[in-house]
Amino acid sequence: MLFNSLSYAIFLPIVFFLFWLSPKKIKWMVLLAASYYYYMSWGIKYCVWIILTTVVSYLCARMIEKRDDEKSKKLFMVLPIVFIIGTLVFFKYFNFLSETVTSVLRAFSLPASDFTLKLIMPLGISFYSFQSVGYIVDVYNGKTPAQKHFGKFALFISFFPHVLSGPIARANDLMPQLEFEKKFDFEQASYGVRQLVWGFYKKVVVSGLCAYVVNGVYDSLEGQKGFVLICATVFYAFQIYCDFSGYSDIAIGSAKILGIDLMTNFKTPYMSQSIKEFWGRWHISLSTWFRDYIYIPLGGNRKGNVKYIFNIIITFLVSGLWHGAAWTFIVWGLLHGVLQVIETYVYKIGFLKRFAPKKGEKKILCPSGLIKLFLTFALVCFTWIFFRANTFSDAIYIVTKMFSGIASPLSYFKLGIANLFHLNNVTKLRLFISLPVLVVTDMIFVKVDLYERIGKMRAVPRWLVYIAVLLLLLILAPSDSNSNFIYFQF
Amino acid sequence: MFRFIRNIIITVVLIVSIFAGLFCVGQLVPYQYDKAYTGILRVKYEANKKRTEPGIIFVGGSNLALGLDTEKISKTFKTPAYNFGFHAGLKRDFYLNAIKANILEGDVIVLIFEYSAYIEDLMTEHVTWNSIDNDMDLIKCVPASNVFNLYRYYPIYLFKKISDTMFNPHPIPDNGGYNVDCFNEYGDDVYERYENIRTPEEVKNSAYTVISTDIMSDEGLEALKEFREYCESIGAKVYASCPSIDRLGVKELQDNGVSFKKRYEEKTGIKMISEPSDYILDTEYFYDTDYHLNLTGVELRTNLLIEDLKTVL
Repeated sequence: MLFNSLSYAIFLPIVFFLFWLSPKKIKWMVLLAASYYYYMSWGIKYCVWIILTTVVSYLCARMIEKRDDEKSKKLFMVLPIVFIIGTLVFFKYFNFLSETVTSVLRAFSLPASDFTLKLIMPLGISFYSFQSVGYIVDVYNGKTPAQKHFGKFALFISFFPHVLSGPIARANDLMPQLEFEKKFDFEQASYGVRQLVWGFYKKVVVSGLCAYVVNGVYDSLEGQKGFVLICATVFYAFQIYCDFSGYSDIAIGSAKILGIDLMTNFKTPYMSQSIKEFWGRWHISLSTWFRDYIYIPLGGNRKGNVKYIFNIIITFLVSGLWHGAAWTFIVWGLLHGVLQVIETYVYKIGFLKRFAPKKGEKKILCPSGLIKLFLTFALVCFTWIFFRANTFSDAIYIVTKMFSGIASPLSYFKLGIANLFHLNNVTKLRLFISLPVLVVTDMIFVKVDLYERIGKMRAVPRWLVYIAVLLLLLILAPSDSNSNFIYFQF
Repeated sequence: MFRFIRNIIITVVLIVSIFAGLFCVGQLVPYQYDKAYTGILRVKYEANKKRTEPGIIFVGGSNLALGLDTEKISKTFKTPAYNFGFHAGLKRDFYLNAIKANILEGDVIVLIFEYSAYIEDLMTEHVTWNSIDNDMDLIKCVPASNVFNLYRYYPIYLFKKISDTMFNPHPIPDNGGYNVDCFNEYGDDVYERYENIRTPEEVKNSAYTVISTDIMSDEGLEALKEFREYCESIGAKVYASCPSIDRLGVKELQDNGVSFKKRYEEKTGIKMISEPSDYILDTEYFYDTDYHLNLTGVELRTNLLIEDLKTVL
């Protein structure tokens, strides 16, 4: 049951009514039943792992809290983490590791035979595994109490808006909300609907339209060279942003309608003026997870320059691996780590110090702000090449061919654009209306929370905005775009 | 909560009203595409409705419109015959609904859909509105699964229609065989075309057709089965044949099409009178797409189909 499907359009209102009309005591049951129904709609077989992860995390967290001695506490923290991460590694990386070992052995002329398993990765395992690990570590560190109510804990793990692709919730943020003390809040629910609709716009319209351009180039690279490769990469930057932030907006909006606030996951990331800032705005629930449970425990930036560089690189390598078992993702993560390290030290050089990004209010519309923004976007796009390419050799092909023909700039750009748009006129029209709308809206979002601002507008302009956005959504959305979310594969 | 639900309902009603309003406005603007290729659909629909004698009706997309000599078939079997082929963009279920407008006892319906019709049933919005607008009978043939997507597209179509009404009324495209005047009374496009205007490289580079059991959805086969049952309840017979397709345009052919035919017959109960592999023809017989034949190709394909029809008629 995809968010952008008719079944979800029926499912959500039913859950809404059942939830708000049921007494406080059984609200968790309604949401738990709905969450498992939603999860099982993808296949009952996937339930085994989520139930197992839930039971193990619940029991071990309770044991951590009950035990007094540090040794036992540590044991009950380590055991479930080994189990959960072990399961994740097995499903996600077994074949990758096996293939890598085989090819290394063969490279040294040692005997090796292919050994891969036909594994079906449980949906959302990367997300609920990290959420469970975060919970266990938080209980161990005393940041959050262990949940005594098994049903509510199971809901914390499986809550349907975030179970498949996040945002990865934190126990001290979500668990208290599962006591359901709040009554229906009109403002919160309206805010949720606004966010949900905008999420649909991003996913169905912008991401769907960009996919035409991107797939046309990345899936048939033979003979492609020059500016077309750069354009397709820029479109991919918008596609993946709209796909995943759209998903997050729909998830957060759906939860808000049910009175639950999930963590913000995206804050206009392409308006960042540094790679570091980009990671503070992109997939925030994952990047803060890596910060809190990998980077800081490793020592962060407190133990000298070498350790800092090592910690950053390790964190981003793990982040790359988390996204997928392929060298393209590893290189993508590594590139981000290296870029962040370079960035940190570049701004320490004499005259460049004054250009270092400052905390507080951002100035975008000034020459240095625009240059930093453009540079950051260009670097992020460069890394996306590795993220999107079907194979590592495809990525290398793109990197080596993307400036081919630039010696004659006019024909370089002209040919690139001509090769890019083998689309019908309606799709082109839809693309060139929907993208500027997104960019302008994102620029406004940097300064103000547009969902809130619209809610405070007078009735007539507010309704005009509602109608305009819904019409744009309905008219511009392509009917035959790929409806799957990119992040489901992770 | 009442206020929240009320607002949601108001929003839905407003949006539906806007689309309904635009549709009503669109019906007041006269149909513009009666001279274009898309105008032939209503001609064929009316021709079928007016039939009083049973005959052979060929149903499918443009593989038929630009791929059959129906007159020859009619003369061979000494029975009326009509080519109800139009455009693959309108997809399978639309044609099944449209042909139901007049099926007579004793009719022989031969379904010849492009292979894409077995994968999905999403109608191409622009072609559909260009063909069915201002004709409520045709609009009613749109299957329920396509209504949402089609009406979402209506404002874009309407914009084009109004601009055509103002600046280019009743356009007659000069595009090599794609207008109403190219069709004869049997429903065949008889525009003089003798060669393939695409190079073999162009065909190869855009080869996408897969002929395998994987391309058949259960829903699609179920729809065909229901159609057969409906026709049989009236006393008409239903057969299926294969579209002629450019050899260079076939990306994959699973065990020579045997499994495809077997699954089709098993699931629908419709006898497929042809072998898919027989209709995979050399590129020289085609005109401008993988499915559109030139007149030499039409002759070859018609002869093949006549031989196949002889096995059941």
